[in-house]
Amino acid sequence: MLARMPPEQDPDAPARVVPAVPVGREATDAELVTRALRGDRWAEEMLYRRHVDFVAGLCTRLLCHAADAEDAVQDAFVDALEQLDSLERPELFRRWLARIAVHKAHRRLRRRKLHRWLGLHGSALQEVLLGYASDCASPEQLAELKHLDRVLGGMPDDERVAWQLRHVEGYRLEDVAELCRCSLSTVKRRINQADVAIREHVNLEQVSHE
Amino acid sequence: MNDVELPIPVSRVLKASEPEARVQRIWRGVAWRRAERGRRNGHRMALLVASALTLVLAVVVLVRQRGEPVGTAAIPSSIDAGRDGREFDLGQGARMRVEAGARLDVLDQSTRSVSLALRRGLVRFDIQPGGSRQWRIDCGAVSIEVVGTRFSIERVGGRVRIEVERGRVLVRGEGVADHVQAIDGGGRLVVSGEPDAVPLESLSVDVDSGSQPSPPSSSPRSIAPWLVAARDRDWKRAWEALGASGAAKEAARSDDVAELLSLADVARLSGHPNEAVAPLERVIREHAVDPRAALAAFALGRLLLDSLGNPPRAAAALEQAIALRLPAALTEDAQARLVEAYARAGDAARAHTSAETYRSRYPDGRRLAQVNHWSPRE
Repeated sequence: MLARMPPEQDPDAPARVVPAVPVGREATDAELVTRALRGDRWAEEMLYRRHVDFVAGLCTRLLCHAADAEDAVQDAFVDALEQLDSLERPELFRRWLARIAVHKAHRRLRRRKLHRWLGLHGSALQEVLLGYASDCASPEQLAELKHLDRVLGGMPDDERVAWQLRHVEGYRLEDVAELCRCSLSTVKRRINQADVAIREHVNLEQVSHE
Repeated sequence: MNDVELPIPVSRVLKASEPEARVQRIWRGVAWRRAERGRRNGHRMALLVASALTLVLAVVVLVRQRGEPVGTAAIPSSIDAGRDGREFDLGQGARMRVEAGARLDVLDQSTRSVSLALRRGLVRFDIQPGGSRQWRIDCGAVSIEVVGTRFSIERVGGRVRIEVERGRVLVRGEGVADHVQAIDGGGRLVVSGEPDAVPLESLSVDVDSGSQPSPPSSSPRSIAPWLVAARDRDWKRAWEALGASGAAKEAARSDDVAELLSLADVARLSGHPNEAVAPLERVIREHAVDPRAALAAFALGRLLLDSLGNPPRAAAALEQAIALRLPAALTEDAQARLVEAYARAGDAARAHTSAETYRSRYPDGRRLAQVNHWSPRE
């Protein structure tokens, strides 16, 4: 079947009733998803604006490359907006979007690995954690971020991504396993291996063993 | 290792937000990719039901259509309506009327998209829904995306008014609530906030310059009626109070920076841009050490470029503004306008140099599309 014109571009479309958001209250993700599914492009853009900072930061830090990350972020939002009707629980939009974004990042990492194996050299990785340092970070913390960038850059992608999702982005172990599409035990092993290497060179807050 | 630990999660010491330019760029990419996917789906279905011969012809048509310009509905790269308005048939049922006094530049046009910049005045659009092109109109700090609608945009200085008669537009900008608003048929939105809508004499000075502006002259003479009206922001009354040749006389007489800037505001904002030149030039020439001289140079550059059609002098003024250490918030704009000034003056080499300077300083700049329009990357 040919792709249908979005309702608001179709002059013959019957009038739509789009639920109004009560005045003075910000629309929830679930409300925006409902509106977007009915063709409300403003709602789509609001979903984008609400979550782009988080997704762009996540992809940039996982891919260690701003341009690659922008491609991944665009792909993630395109997929999310095109497949909104497959989201069973609209209130979990952010989590679902994160899953798509991490999957896109993984695909790029695999492609990069293949290029390296084929002898095709890509762009140099960037010091993304240092680049994302907040204005409140002390000079000592900046120095540690630089060390962390360097250590993470020399690590296998699987270990690095798992460790970053856990200890940089702050996801729970179960969520890291879901995002990495592997078992909990595999994720724990990858994180612990990375942690040993990182703590030799970077001064990090102590956390309980996993 | 030093004694300071990084917290876990490390995100506690990381920035949570992205630069607005990057956010907008990614969104444009999302919109483009979605449009591409839609086109691919449509073509795929057409091929499935067609014969082998039709399939070959459809592929040939696809290849020829990529990248073609708009064709007979091409818009001139710059439209200055002058005394009479002008109407344009843009193809696919789209029409545009540029009213008298309006000025519109075309940043980009192809079979996929049309990107315009409204510099001043009133333009009315009637765009049929369902067309293949995306329409975007930039008005300084605000941009309007068209879905398929009849609407008008009016720009006076930094103030932009959008009125939608039918359909919907999306308005984006840093001065817009949530950075994006949807305006439906019967709706209206007014956005203001660009520096050129603000009288020069009220702009704050960059305190890093180390000096404070001198207060307006406290001479024992009573305050001139035109100055009283200017302080009330009644520009028309202020101009009338100056009387015939009054602006020129005041520009020659006054030695006070604040008064000269007020005089320029009165001339500019009451519709007499020519008379704003002299007071601005005096500030730049005789008060170069005053931090407001940079603002005066920037205002003069824009005046010469937008209202007085003198790109070479505009370029000189903009160069001065940057050299006099314009506040950081305006330097990006000045650099972008410099590219335009040189390009319109026919100096491609300087336009290119200025564009390279802009691109290296502001790789994600919000004026990048305009800069690339006036001096494309090699």
